Amino acid sequence: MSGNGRPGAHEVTALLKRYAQGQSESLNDVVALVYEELHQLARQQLRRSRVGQHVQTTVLVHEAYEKLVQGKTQDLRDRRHFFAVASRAMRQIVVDTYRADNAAKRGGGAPPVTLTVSHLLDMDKPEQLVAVYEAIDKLAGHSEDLVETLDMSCFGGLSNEQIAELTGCNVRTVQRKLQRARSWLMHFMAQDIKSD
Amino acid sequence: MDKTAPGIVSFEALDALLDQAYALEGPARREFVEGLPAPQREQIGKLLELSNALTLSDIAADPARSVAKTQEPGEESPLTADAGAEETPAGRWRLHRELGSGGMGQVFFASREAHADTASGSRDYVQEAAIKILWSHRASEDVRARFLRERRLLASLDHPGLARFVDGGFLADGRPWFAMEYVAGTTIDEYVRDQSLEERLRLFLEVCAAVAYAHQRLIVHRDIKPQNVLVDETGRARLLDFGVAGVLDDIDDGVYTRTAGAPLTLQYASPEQLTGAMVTVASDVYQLGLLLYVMLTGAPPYDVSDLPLTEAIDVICNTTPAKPGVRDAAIGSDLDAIVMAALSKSPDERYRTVSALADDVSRFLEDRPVKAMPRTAWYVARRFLRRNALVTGIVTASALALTAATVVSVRMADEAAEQAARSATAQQILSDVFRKADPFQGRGATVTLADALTRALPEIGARVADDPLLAWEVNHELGKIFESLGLIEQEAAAHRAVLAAAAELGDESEVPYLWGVAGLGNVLARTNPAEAVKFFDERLPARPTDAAAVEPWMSAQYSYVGALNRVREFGRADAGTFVMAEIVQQYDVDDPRRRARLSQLLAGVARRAGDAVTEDLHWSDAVRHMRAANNPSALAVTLSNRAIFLGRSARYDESEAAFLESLAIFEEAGMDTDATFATVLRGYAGLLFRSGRAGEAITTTERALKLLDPGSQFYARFVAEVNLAQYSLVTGDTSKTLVVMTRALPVVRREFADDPSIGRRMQRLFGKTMVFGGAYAEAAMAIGYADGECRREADLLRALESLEHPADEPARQKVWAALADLRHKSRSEELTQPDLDGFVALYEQEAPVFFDALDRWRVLDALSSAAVLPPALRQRHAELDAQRAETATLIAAYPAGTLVDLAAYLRSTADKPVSCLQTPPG
Repeated sequence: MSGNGRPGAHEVTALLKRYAQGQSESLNDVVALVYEELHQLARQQLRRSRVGQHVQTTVLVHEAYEKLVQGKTQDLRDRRHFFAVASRAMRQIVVDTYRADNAAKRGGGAPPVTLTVSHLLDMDKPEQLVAVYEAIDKLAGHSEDLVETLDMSCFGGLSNEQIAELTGCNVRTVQRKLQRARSWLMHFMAQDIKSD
Repeated sequence: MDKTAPGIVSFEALDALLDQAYALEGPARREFVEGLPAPQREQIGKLLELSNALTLSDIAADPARSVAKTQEPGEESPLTADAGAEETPAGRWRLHRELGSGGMGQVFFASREAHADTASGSRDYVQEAAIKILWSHRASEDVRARFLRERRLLASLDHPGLARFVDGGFLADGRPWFAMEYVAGTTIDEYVRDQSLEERLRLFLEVCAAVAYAHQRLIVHRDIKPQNVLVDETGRARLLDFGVAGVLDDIDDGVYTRTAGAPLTLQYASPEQLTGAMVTVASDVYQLGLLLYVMLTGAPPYDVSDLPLTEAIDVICNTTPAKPGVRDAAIGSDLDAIVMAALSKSPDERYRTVSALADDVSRFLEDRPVKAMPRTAWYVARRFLRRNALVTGIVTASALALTAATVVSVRMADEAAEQAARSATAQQILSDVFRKADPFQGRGATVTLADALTRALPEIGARVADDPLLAWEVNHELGKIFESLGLIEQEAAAHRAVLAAAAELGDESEVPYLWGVAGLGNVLARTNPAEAVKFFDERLPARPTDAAAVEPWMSAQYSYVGALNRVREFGRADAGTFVMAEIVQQYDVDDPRRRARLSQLLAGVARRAGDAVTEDLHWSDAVRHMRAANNPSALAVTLSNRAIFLGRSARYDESEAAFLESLAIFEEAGMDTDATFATVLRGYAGLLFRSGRAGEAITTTERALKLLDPGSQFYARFVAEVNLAQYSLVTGDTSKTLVVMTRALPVVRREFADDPSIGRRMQRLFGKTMVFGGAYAEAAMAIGYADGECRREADLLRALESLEHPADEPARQKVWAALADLRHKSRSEELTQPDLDGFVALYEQEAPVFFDALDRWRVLDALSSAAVLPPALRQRHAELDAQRAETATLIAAYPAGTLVDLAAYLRSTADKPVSCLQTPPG
């Protein structure tokens, strides 16, 4: 499956391993790889889908996993890292897409790429996504753990059960983490808007 | 108020407290928060409140939500609910009582009056509304902005299924408010309790349309549940509006709770709402699935109201609910599949849009294959056959008119049973060929089973070419299938192929030969009875030669007798029936279906002989045999036929019991939605009417009407509407009669006049409508029926022509009487000698029919005025004249509803001296 210049499963697995062993610069490498792959997949999906149809972030992330690592690693830690990374990359893609679309719209360009995550937002106010994104960044400054869970749920499309399995805690804990993350996000967003 | 980021208390400490708080529920959580030191308490309180925002975007628009929310009600608001006293936001609205309060404001029940004349103050109209007012004039700009956004959003919605935006403005202190239509009605689950399956589904489709409309405007409702869907007085489903609905429900909804995100009703929350995942269109699809579940079964799939929150979430997110069909067997696997697809735990597995869900429900209603079912060819075919069975049922039903026996549909039910028992070999061949023809792959709805079969015919022919034994079996089956599809030519061709195969088989051919004769003769009997009689005369042996031939012979003979009856060769028909009876005895035929059929025929013979006692015996036999035949639908129809007989014999209680049993069988078998059921309902309505319960007759007919599709079941509907008109006339609701008549008359002329089969049926029906001859004449005149007397006379004459069957005798008498009356009155035409002869002959036949005294008077009156009244009848005429005058007095003196009682009374005294009439009915 791994073609010319595309990240091979081996490469991703190796990067994940290095990251797991504490070499944090590997994280950026693997994020870059996964980002590239997800973007490719998103474009393919969009080409295949009809106008106005949503591209499911869940589908993309799982497809990326199939493509990049499936079968090459049985390590739960690898899987966890992969999904954490992929979910974060997905978030990045969603925000980038919105930004690009906004730019394109002003220039009279193509209709916006619509991702499922947009249901969190007012369709006519994509700039809110940016606010959400910034709040997530703020939260990440306090708790990577909460953001990872949030990413997996919102952008990776993983179910609470899947997240529980990957992160080694129970479902109830995942639910509470998501609740906490929500509270904090809204707190940060409220703060931001107040200080505008 | 929000200067406190994690700063006074560290993020980690607060987050840990938050975690503890979220681990608790309800009062325990509140207690925990209240027990915290002041700064933490304030912080955690806000964080928890913030989490109640509907979505991330809501908080983006409304960061200061917590301020408004935590404010004590009334503290800032001068608008307390002060019944009727409060002067109003817009100066004209009066607030009556508080309906509830929510994140941004309070909601009041309000009304305003408009005055037609300001000087006198007379009220012109009163309008009611639910008014929502922003909590506080000191609310932050953001809350204000959000409130205004909600207002804008609601104002942009305009759909008959949604509560409408009525008005909006600002108070003196600058607070915005808006008024939404106040919907008074019944919650949908309550409303549908007495409704038929189809009515429920149609109502559900209305809800879907409203939700789909909102989705088109990118608004997700998120809180669809029975309490939010009201059915207004016009019977229309109304989805209460978004923000307001949520608020309105706060007050009386015990299980309202808040979890990860939006405030939601636990009982109706989607899994993703409970787990804090994205709430999308799919969540509304899920809630619509729940709504449909409740509408079908009367209860939600899970009852989580008494469970602790965590367990409730577990139930909703992890347990598969019982299919609706488990609770109510009448629901069936198609609806099960639709509901379960909508209720999938994973949003991706549900219908992708509300329209897709609605589309599938519509498909079910049209008896088309639903998409939620595994799409095998045979599933599609079954749906198709069912759809077709109903369509053929319509023609049957329309033939049944008011009192005619329902023998035809018994035969259909029989055929269905035979079809179920058909030969495995033939079935195998057909199914092979059918699969090969593969009509359902990627061709959409335009390919019909009929097309597929027609395409497959050459192949079938080739496969059975060398084997006449197989050829007859296969073609025999094909004949039945084409019959159920209503493809007469193909059906006839199949039966001819059976005959051809029989000819090839030579010596052992008697059974296939007889089946071929039965099949082809049956086609003819339906299309051209005279031709059928000739055909049977030539081809059908007088008796079967051995036991093996008995079954097909009986089948053929049954059609033969039917055809003889149709061409009014009653003598031969009766003789044929007696031969059947002999054969049954001789061969000891114990097939209960055959015996039941025979009993029905014998009952017909007895009816023609005027032998009610014998007829009674045969109907009892027919019912008994049908009970043994284990064919519920045929039993139900037979019961209904017997009920009609009992009704005719004025044995109303027994008749009603038989009707009720028949109806119960339909209901139990889940067949209480089809056209045959509607026919039985109409028969029952007729009985109710005759036994003086016109009100019940009307509701029963209305129930039947609702089962009949205005498009495909037009004829049956027409019949039911005409009945309704008659019944309404008796209850004094003549306006309904006028409406129906106005509609019916042109339809009869336009649609049926030239159609030899339907036209005749309709003419007959129309003739029977003349039971109300006099009233009809008045009705027609009242509506200014332009064509005048002559035209109506033509109607009567046509009706007379169509009333050819002996069973129509009573109706024919009515028409004649009306005709005599008309000619007598109009003097437009001299009565002809045949008329007069007919009248005299008619008069001499005593028939216990509705209003017969009046009719007889009409006849005699006409004869009298033509001065041809035989002396023997003059005396009677004088008597009847007196009786008529008395009747008219009685009718005038009695309230409309007792007219029927009076008629029954008149009938019961028909043979007694006129003076009996002086005692009014009790």
